Formats: sequence, C-alpha cells, structure tokens
Amino acid sequence: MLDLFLTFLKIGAFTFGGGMVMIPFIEQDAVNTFGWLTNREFVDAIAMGQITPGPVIISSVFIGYKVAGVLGSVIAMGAVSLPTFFYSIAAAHQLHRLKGNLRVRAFLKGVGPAVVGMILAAGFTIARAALVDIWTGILALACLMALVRFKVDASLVIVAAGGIGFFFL
Amino acid sequence: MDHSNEKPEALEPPGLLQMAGVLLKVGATGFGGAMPILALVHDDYVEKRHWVSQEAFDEAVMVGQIMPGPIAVDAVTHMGYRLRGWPGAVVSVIAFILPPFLFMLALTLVYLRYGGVPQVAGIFKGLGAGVVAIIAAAAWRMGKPHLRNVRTASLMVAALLALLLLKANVVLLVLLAGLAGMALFRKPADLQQDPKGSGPRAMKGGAN
Repeated sequence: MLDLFLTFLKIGAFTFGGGMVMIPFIEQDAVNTFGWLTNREFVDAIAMGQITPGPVIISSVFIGYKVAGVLGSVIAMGAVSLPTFFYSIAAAHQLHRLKGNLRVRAFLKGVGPAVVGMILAAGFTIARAALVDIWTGILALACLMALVRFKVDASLVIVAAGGIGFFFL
Repeated sequence: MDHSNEKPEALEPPGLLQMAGVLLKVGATGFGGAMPILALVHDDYVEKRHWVSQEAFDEAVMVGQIMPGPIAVDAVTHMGYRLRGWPGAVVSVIAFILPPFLFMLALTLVYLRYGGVPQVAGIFKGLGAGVVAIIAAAAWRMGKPHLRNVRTASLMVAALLALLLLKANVVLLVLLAGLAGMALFRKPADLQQDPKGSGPRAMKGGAN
C-alpha cells in the first residue's frame, strides 16, 4: 500500500506535459517493477481511461483497485493528484517569475521532446500487447487515419473501436 | 447575455458550491483530453459566468502546461486557488476528479468481473487497437513541432532509445532531458514561443 502511494506520488510529481506522459511511468513501475497488472490489463486500463470522462490519469483508479480494493483506488488517485495540487498553488505565487524565466523554459524545452520519445517507447510495448492479430493491426491503422488525417474526436474513435471489437473481434 | 467583450470589472467571484457544481458537470461530461475539457471550463468560467478574465484563464492553462500532472487538473486547481484560496483549490480538485473517479471505479468492477466473457474481451480487443492509435496520434501531435529542430529531434530519439533499449529510469530521463535543455538552449532566440499555440481551442481533438 505504501508502494502504491509512493509510486503514484512520483508519477504525479514528474509527468511534465500532460496525461499521456504518465503512460511510460505507469508501465515502468506498475507493470514491470511491481507486477501489479499484466500488459493486457495495462492496455485495458488505459482504454477505460479513454472512454470515461476526465483526464487519462484516471486509469490509476483501476491499478489502485487491483492492488488494494476501493481504498487502493482512493490512495492511487489521491497520491497522483497531490503533487499537481501543490504545484498549481505554488504557481499562483510565482506566476510572474515563471512566465519569463528562461531557465524554466529551457528545461521544459528539453523535457518536451524527451517525453514524446518516452510515449513512443511505451507505445511500442502497448502495441505489442494490444495488436494481437492482423485485424487489430488494421483497426489501429484505421483509427490512426481517422485521428490524424480526418481529425475525428478521440472519444468517438475509441467508442467506435470498442463497437467494432464487440461485433467483429 | 453573452458578451465576450465584457469589461474586467464585471468579474464576479463564485461561491464554493457554485464552483463545485460547474466542475462536477465538467468532470462528468468532459471527454477527449485536456484541451477539449478546458474548452468546457472556459465556456463556464470565462464566457457564461465571468468568474475569471481571459488573461487569467490563459495563465492557468500555461500553469497546467508547465507544471507536472494532468493539464486540466492543474489549471482548474490553480483557478480555484486564485478565486477562493485554499478551500477553492480543495473543492476544485475534488469536484473535478469525483465524477470520472466514480465512472472509472464502476468500469473497473465490471471489467474485473466480466472481462473474460468473449463479447467483452472482443470490446477490449477493439479498444486496445484504438488506444494504440490514440497514443500514436498524441505522439505525432506533440512531436511534430520538435522535428523541425535538430537538437529537439535528437533529444526525442535519445529518450525513445534509452527507454526502449536500455530500460532507463523514467524520472532520471525527464531530469536529464531538462538539464540537456538548459545546456542546449541558452540563447533567448532558442526559446522563441513555440508555434503550437496554447489556447484550449488551438489543440482540440487531442487525447491527453
């Protein structure tokens, strides 16, 4: 339970750049280090995070529940939100300094591309777990086209993918 | 009654309950990642209710992008604090997280109970393919601006390989990349505003 709390505290504290960035973090700790969930469950947890409203980080609830029931999900969600909470309040006091600070911007300019690389790396692992046959591969490509080429909303794409899975896979 | 050119004096700070009500609603209906969710918050906070000015809202979005953690949660907590102090921040984060938390908990229970049923497994096969696409699309959207510059492009590839091949520690990677950024981008010219734009409208349709 302490591991759960500390892991999600860490995820909350270092995921610069938004919710997608937490995916490589969760994979490393929850799947690889602690073995709280399988690769398949990891993919499904993220999928559920996409079909529920709110931030993707809500997938933490699933992991917390698997480790320690309802209390575990409260702990995971609380721990992951705690750093965010204090950062945003601290930011209110330092806003003018943050805004023009060149060091902060240089730091973030380095982190920005790195987290994309990390998301891609996690994406590979997820693709290996999620694309189990030719049909899931084709479906993923079709979804990608819809998202990038035709700018279809992500929540619509994910619901459509689930529907196709229900009827055909 | 919807004048978008309202003067700043017209701002009316909300009560805690009012704020909780709006955030519960946004939390329950906000799909598709940080920017579409923030667009909903913008509708209520800035346009309909005049709780915060456009400038303060933009600052909150910037805070969300700079600070770790989900962008929308950061921004909402930050505005809650500026409007009503600590109680405002606490109420904001709880009201915003509660609806998705309950949805997710319900889904988790259903999944753990019926995940093995063939039809349900089929749904998740489909969803999994969708997730791969969403991650790839997010990487594409977030990565495109970095491809134009050799230094940022190299950082991206380096992080990808370090994680994929060396299984490097993610926290260490983030810190190293930040330090590399501080070493590489010393001149103000290196830090020209990113062209991606930061308003909630600018990045619709992404999944964060």
